[in-house]
Order: sequence, then C-alpha cells, then structure tokens
Amino acid sequence: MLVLVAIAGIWEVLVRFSIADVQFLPAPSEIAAAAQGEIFGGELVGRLIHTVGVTALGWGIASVIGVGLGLLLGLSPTAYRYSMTSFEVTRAIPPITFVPAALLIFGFSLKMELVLVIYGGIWPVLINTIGGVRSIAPELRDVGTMLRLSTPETIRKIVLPAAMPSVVVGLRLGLSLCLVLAVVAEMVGNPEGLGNGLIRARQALQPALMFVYVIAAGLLGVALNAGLRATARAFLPGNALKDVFAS
Amino acid sequence: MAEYECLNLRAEVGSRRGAKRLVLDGVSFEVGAGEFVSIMGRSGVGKTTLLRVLAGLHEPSADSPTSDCMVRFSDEAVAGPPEGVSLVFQDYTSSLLPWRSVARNVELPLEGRLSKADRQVRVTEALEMVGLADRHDAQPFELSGGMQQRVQLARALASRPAALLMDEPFGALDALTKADLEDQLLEIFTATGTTVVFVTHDIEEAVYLSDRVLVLDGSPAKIVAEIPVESPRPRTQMHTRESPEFLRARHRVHEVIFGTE
Ligand SMILES: Nc1ncnc2c1ncn2[C@@H]1O[C@H](COP(=O)(O)OP(=O)(O)OP(=O)(O)O)[C@@H](O)[C@H]1O
Ligand SMILES: [Mg+2]
Repeated sequence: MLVLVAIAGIWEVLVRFSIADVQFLPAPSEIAAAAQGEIFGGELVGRLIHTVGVTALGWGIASVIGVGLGLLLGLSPTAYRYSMTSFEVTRAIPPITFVPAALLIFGFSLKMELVLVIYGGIWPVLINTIGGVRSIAPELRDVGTMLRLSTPETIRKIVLPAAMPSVVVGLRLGLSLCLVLAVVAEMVGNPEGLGNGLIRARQALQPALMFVYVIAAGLLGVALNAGLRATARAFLPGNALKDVFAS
Repeated sequence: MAEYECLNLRAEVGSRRGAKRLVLDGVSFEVGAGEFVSIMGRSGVGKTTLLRVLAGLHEPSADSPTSDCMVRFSDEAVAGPPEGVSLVFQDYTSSLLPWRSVARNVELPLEGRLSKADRQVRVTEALEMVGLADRHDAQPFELSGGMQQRVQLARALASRPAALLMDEPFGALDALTKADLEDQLLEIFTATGTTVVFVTHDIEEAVYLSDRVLVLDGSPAKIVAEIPVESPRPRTQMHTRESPEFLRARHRVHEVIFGTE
C-alpha cells in the first residue's frame, strides 16, 4: 500500500513538473478527478456491473462444464485416452485468437462476449480438475470400493473433496482469465462494459478517463479473487486450502 | 466352519496394456470363523495381492488351466467387496480422509445404512475399542502415526465386520506403539469374535497374534507351510513370548523361511 502511494507521488511530481514529457500521460490527481466524475455522473457503475455480470456468469457456466467434464475424464481412463491429444492441441491455441472468429459468427453482441469468456474459462478448470482427480491416492479409491459406495456417492464423498484443492486452483485461474477475456471482448466486440469504456475514453482523447477504467479493471480483478477466496474459506476446511492461495 | 475358502487361486498383476505377471498360482487355504490367521512371506511375494483378492478388490486370473480356482467368503463366491468384510490398509496416511474429523472418518462406512443416532453409538463404541474416545473431533493430521492407524482400525470395526483383513497395519510403527496396538487388536479380537486375516513380515508378530501362520513363497507364490500356534489365549507380551509353544512355533516359521542352517 505504502509503495503504491509512493509511486503515485513520484508519478505526480514527474508529470506536474514536466520532467517526464510524455504526451497524454495524466497525473494521478487528474485521474482521481476523472474517477470522481465518472463514478457519480458518468457510466462507470453501469459498465462495471456489466463486466462483473458477464465475467461471473461466464465463469459460473465454464466452471460447471469444466468440473463436470474434468470428473468424467479424470475418472474414465478410456475417455481420457481418446480425448487428451485433441485437448492438448486445442488448449495450445490462445483463446484470444478466437476473438475474430467469434466476432464473425456472433457479431457485436453479448453472445460473442459470453462465448469467449466461457470458452476461455473452461480450460484451467478442466485441466486442474482432471489433474486433481487423477492424482488421488489409489488407496482412497479402494476405501470407496471397499465400502461399496455408489458412483455418485464416491464422487461426492471421496473424489470431489480429494480433488478440491486442485479444482479451486483451476477456478481461481479461470476467474482471472474470464475477466481478461470479458474486457478484451468488450474492447473489440460487444460495445459495453469496462473494455468499451476504455476504448471510448481513448477515442475521445481523455487519457485520465482511460486510466480510470484501467484501474477499475484492476481493482475488479482483485475484488473477484478476494471474493472467491472468502467463499472457498467458508466452504472448505482450512488445511485443504493452505497452498491453494499461497501464490 | 470355514469363513474364507481359497482353492487353487491364480492372480496376475500389471497394467491393462502392459505385461502381466503371474504372482499367485495354486494358493489354497481356509480360514475358520473366529480364527486369527497370519500370512507371511518376503517382500514382493504377493501378500498384498492375496489380501486384495480376499477383499474383492482384485479379480483372480480368469484364464486358469484348471478351472477349479475359487475364492469364497461365508459360502458365497467373492465378486467385489463382500458384505461383512473390512480392510485395514498398510498406509494409513493415504487411506484416511484428511478433510474429515476422526469421528466422521469412522462414521463413513455407516452413512446411508444407519440412523444418525445409531451411527453416533457405533462411532463412540469403535473409538472406545481403539482407545481414542477422547480424540473424537481431532483432524487426522493432528494425530501420530499410531493414532491414525487406530482410527483406521476403528473405521474398519464400526460396521461390525465378520472378517477383518489387515495389510501390515503396524509395519510403519515403532516397537512400543506396535506392541501396544498388537495387544489392543487381540483384545478386540477376543471381545468381538471377528475373523482376522493378518499380513505381516514380522515373524514375532505373526506368531504372537495368530492361531495359524501361513507362509507364502515362490514365484509365482503358493502356501508352502502352515504352522499352528498353540499358545493359549489371552496372550500377553511378556508371558506368551517366553512360553514354549510360542518359541516352538517361532522356530518352525524361521525354519520354513530361512531353511535349516
Ligand atoms: N500395479 C502393479 N503393476 C505391476 N506389478 C505390480 C503391481 N502391484 C504389484 N506388483 C508386483 O506384484 C508382486 C506382488 O506384489 P505385492 O504388493 O502383493 O507384494 P507384497 O508381498 O505385499 O510385498 P510387500 O511385503 O513389500 O508389501 C511384486 O513383485 C510387485 O512388484
Ligand atoms: Mg504389501
């Protein structure tokens, strides 16, 4: 926190006294003023709600698909063998490269944004769920078999809790990625949300406003991560999560 | 009356696609109801494999030339884990559920079978039997190795099994804890009348605990000797280990395993 204040102070001094003569670089004080205007009289709140909504919805859908598919692939060696090569290839393509394709197919729309967010968000969840399930100690699986648990019981009582730390890592990576993709989609495709606000500010030659949106997106990322952490804490025992949020 | 019957058992291990290795061939023995039988043999001989077959976790080899291969528990062919059989795993660290408390681990086999109140009674009873009644709410990782193995034993006992299969359960414990747990197991064995099949590579332990010691040897392995232990019960660490019956049985097992010098 102190470091941030120091950086802002130095930045302010550099810009004020034209030591760093960079065109269109606003001083922190200007950004603060712009932020105040945008929050109380402008579009920031509406745009923020849009981006949060799309990110959360897309991430939720991606997580359900990712965990479900991950359980299936992690538990069935046959399904794993048949699909892993094609997954590896598909996964290697950065989701951002699908932006033009999504734009062509879905046009400038909410659908385009959601599809992109969901597609990108599935991967980390899927890969980490598969990894988590496949690394469960064979003894633990035998415990379930010995107790003659049904498949749903085994998944609920043994597989999911055992894989949970790994799944939560996936959910967390997925959430960050979903936010990135939502903002990118808003910048080039769906004309709403923080990403679009950023582009608008640039087009209007309002650098201070642009930085307001940059900071808003950053703070949103921090807030989403903190929210996820709190939720995970509430639902999982402390020891299972120790290393999940360490990084 | 025989509880477990095993006739000409053949078992292979190996991955589904990789090379299979015949580990057990022609293993035949019986275990009577309420009997305590130990299975001994050198490392890698196939003790765990045999116990997993008895537990219904490992299928006997199907392509037997003699088709009389048979494993039965209380007069029914073993296909999958039989009702009334509990297994205590060698490695307690990976067989307890670390996200559940001690009591909830012990409760696991009872869920969906008994009412909440009945489950509480059984859990308390099982934890008392292993001397852990006061660690009801502890998490497994807060306990010592010996205590964790007791929790596993309590979990196996909670369903009041007819037969208890144990795979080197005290192998990783220090000598004092081991002696302690051996006596506790004998007490439980006497009190419950459970049949026990106990795998170990500790000769003293096998003789101290068992009515009979079976020795597994060869590759593929079969039962090469069967040594009865005549020491009377109840047994105590000090007296039993000095009794002539104990010494005679120990001598016999030594002879079988290491040959006569
Ligand atoms: N999954 C597996 N794949 C290939 N070989 C295996 C597998 N499991 C066991 N084996 C082999 O089968 C043989 C018997 O193994 P098993 O675990 O039954 O021995 P054990 O008598 O229990 O040994 P220990 O006393 O060390 O526990 C060993 O030689 C081992 O190498
Ligand atoms: Mg073994």
